[in-house]
Amino acid sequence: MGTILRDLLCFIPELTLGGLILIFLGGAVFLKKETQGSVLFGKVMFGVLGMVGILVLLQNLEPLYIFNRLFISDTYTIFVKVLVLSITICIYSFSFSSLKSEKVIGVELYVFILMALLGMFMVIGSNDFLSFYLGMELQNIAFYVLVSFKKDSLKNNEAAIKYFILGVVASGIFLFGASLLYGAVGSLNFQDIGNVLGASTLESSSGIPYALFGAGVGLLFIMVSFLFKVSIVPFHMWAPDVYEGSPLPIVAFLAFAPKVVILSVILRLWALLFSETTVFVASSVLKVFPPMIMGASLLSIIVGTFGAFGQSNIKRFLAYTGISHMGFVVLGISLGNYSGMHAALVYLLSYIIMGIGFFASLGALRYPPGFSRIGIVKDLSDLKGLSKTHPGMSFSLAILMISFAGLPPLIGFFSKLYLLLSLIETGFVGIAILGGLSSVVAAVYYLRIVKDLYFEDAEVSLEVVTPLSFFIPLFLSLGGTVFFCIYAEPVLLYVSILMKMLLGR
Amino acid sequence: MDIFDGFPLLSLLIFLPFFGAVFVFLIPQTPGKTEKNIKNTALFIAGCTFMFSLLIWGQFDPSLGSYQFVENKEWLPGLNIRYSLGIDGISLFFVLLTTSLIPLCILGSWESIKHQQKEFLIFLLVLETFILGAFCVLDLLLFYIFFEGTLIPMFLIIGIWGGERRIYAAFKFFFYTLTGSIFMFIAILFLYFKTGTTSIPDLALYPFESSLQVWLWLAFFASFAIKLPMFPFHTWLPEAHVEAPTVGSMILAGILLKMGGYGFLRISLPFFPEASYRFAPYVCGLSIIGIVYASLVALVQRDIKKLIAYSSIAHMGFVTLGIFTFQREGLNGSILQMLSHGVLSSGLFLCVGILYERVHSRDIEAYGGIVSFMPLFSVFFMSLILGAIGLPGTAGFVGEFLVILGTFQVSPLMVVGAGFGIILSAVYMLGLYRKVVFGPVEKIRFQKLKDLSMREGSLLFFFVGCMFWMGLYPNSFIGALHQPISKILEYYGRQQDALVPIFKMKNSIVFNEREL
Repeated sequence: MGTILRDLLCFIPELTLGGLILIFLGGAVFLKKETQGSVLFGKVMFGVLGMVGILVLLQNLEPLYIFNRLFISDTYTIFVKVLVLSITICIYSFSFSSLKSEKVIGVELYVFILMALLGMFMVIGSNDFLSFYLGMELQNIAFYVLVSFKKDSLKNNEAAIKYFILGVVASGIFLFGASLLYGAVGSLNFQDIGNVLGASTLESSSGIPYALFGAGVGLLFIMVSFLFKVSIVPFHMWAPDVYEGSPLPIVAFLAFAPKVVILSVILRLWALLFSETTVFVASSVLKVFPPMIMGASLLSIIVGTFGAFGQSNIKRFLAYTGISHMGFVVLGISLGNYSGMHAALVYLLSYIIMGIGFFASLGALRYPPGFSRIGIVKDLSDLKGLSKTHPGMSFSLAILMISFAGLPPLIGFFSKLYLLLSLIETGFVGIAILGGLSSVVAAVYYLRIVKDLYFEDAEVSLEVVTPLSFFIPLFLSLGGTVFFCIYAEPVLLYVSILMKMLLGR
Repeated sequence: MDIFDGFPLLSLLIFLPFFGAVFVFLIPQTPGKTEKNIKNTALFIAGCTFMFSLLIWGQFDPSLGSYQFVENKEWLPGLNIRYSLGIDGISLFFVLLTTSLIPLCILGSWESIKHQQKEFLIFLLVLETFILGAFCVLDLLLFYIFFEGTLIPMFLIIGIWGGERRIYAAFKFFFYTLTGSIFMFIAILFLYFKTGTTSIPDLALYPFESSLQVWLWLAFFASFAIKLPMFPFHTWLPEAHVEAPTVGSMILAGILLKMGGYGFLRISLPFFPEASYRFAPYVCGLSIIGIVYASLVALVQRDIKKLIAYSSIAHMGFVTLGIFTFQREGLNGSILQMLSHGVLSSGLFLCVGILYERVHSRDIEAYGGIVSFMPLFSVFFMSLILGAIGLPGTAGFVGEFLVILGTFQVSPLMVVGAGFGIILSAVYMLGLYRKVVFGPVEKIRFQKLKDLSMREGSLLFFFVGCMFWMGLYPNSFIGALHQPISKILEYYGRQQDALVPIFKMKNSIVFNEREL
């Protein structure tokens, strides 16, 4: 009885989220007008998200296994949960009015955001492929609905169907891999898998043991579905189309939150199975994984970088740059040592910090009334000449672009610095040079945006909407981008503590 | 020095323009009303920075061999990368060059920048911060950050206020420099991985293996040679100069190019003496080719700005030639050449800007006989041109003479090439002057030309004054350069025994440095 109570206490944020989903659904029935309800719920959401945040922060920092080791709760999970929650709050805060302008507001929206959040919390806390799958499916289903929210748009429907079919296929691949893994190892628990694999390598030193081989194939399938979720080449095809078709705030949500979640699990698994401290990797079939993942990440850096070149649509552009940035993160993870994983997490954080600002400022830019297009700005060329009408907004966009390009002294530079340093430390000087050169190529199109902002004359005089909800995320993001070089200490120290904990050092 | 002990003088110097830029940013902009305020504020800040640098010069002790005004603070946790600043004689003069040029640039842009003046001044002040930072830091990574940081403001200055092909020029400038710098960046990371530190004074003492030195030297060379620019990597410079606004050209020629030469002196030579030694013949050869080639190209230019840009490349050839002789005279000469070129070329670009504002053409053919209408201007222009040719008594002479003196001890053959370059420089510079200032007045509109205004006149007077000061009393600079140059030469003393002389030109030489 005592343990169940303790487990439930540790699960309070998730339970609260579940309860709130029910309350929202139930409340929607009793509201008279849908618009009235959506506005009311929209405001309540801030309080709800804040409350969940407090509940997460109140959790015990000691590592604890919950529900018969299905879930885990430690500093790392709390960190990632807080991170995901802050992403959600930032994006929600500026998406509230953007969604109104895209006419996709409704009570369901909040329910599905909360549902996605619940799913993500479960994935972050999972310590077992079973609980992982349950969480991931909950999150996926919520996202399928969120992506298809603009019911009357053809592009949106196309995007939703693509995302749904490919997502389901990825889930199927995951399940197949998990069943193979279960057959080979006899458990789906992360620690058990690590232990069994380690023991079976020691037992049979000659030849490839059966269990290891089955586990290897199973893990391969699981990895594929993971890479699909973080849109790593060659599983990246869905991203540009889905991004293009979905409303911008949903894209912002989709671009960060699920990726952070899956990457956090990849980091945990990688530290457990493929890090330099795990002896069995080098002597088994599993040793093909790190170079394979590294190759995929390099490919996605290259494909993302060159793919973004020809894009004129902002969302497609963001999808391709996202692919290349995710490539850098996974490249760091694939090194499997402390410095690589530290660099990967720093890179991810910096990408989030810059990206939220970029999405927030894009969300504030609207076509003027009477123009042939309506709503949020859609093409990169529409940004031309913004500096003449809105100097402040174009200045912040330019700073973010320069930071994305990885130029000092902004945060994008430091994330690349740590990553290249870890590559060189591990002995991959050639790959470091490749990464550096690809960031030069990437700088071309980031600076092309700066050029459009400053050097060209305006074709459309865009409007900037100015509620506070846009500017708070934007200022936070700009502050992080600019002042990281001066005061990076707390972030870096915290990340290094987390990584040392994951690697058991 | 006593009262300033422990006081972060250099940090203040570096970040004063930055805070000024923030302050300018906060001045609300109403067209037609606040522009004057904005300009005055920016000028005041730049002037304060200049005063501040003079204070530092006053406190500087040239007899000390070590870095002065040193600051050293924890910066990136986990990595042994520190926020450390300090200057020696070499950096001191580049700092002074920067702080003195920026107020002049602001004055120079007083009327020529017609739109978005506020942004222009902000970029200029931010640029000053980055340049000063690059000259003052004692940490490689910080150096890289400041070195690269200059790209963005300069990119924007060229791109927003430039001429017709400004976008092409801005991108060319940016990507040439960035590509070179990426190799330097990787090399810095590699150095850090190898030695566990990025401190410049510590790394200078670290003995690198010779095979490693070659690669690292090449990586740094890629960056500095493009920045300087050296002969095969120079193609971005004429474009950038032609399209940049007058003030952009002044900064580009006056200061930014010097960062390449400074990099050679501060990083390539002390860190990799063996590789520098090995590559020196090639670098000197390229320098000679660059001098002659750029001079020949300058001869046939129709565009005044392009002509001066090519003359800059030729002058920078002298700089690399002087550095890679590893002689005291050569090193002294190359530093003085950089300083004098900083004054002369920015003065010349200012002259071109003054002409352009009146005639709206950079084509040499469009001019002629302006001496009758702008006598005062013609006098200043003449003095600067004589300086650029290297007439004795002007700044240009000291640098070129010392470089040639240094080169002569290494290889008399090279002196022939360099001398040829000097003769050519007289031909194209005086040709330019003849075509622009003298000759018949064919264009009626020239009759309306006004001579220099008070602002322009005093600006040019300052440039000419500086030029004669450096030419007539170079000792005020050479004194403080003695210690740092001795330090650089020391690294070569260590190399001498281990290496077979590589310069095997005429009299199988070489490097018989007197101090050693």
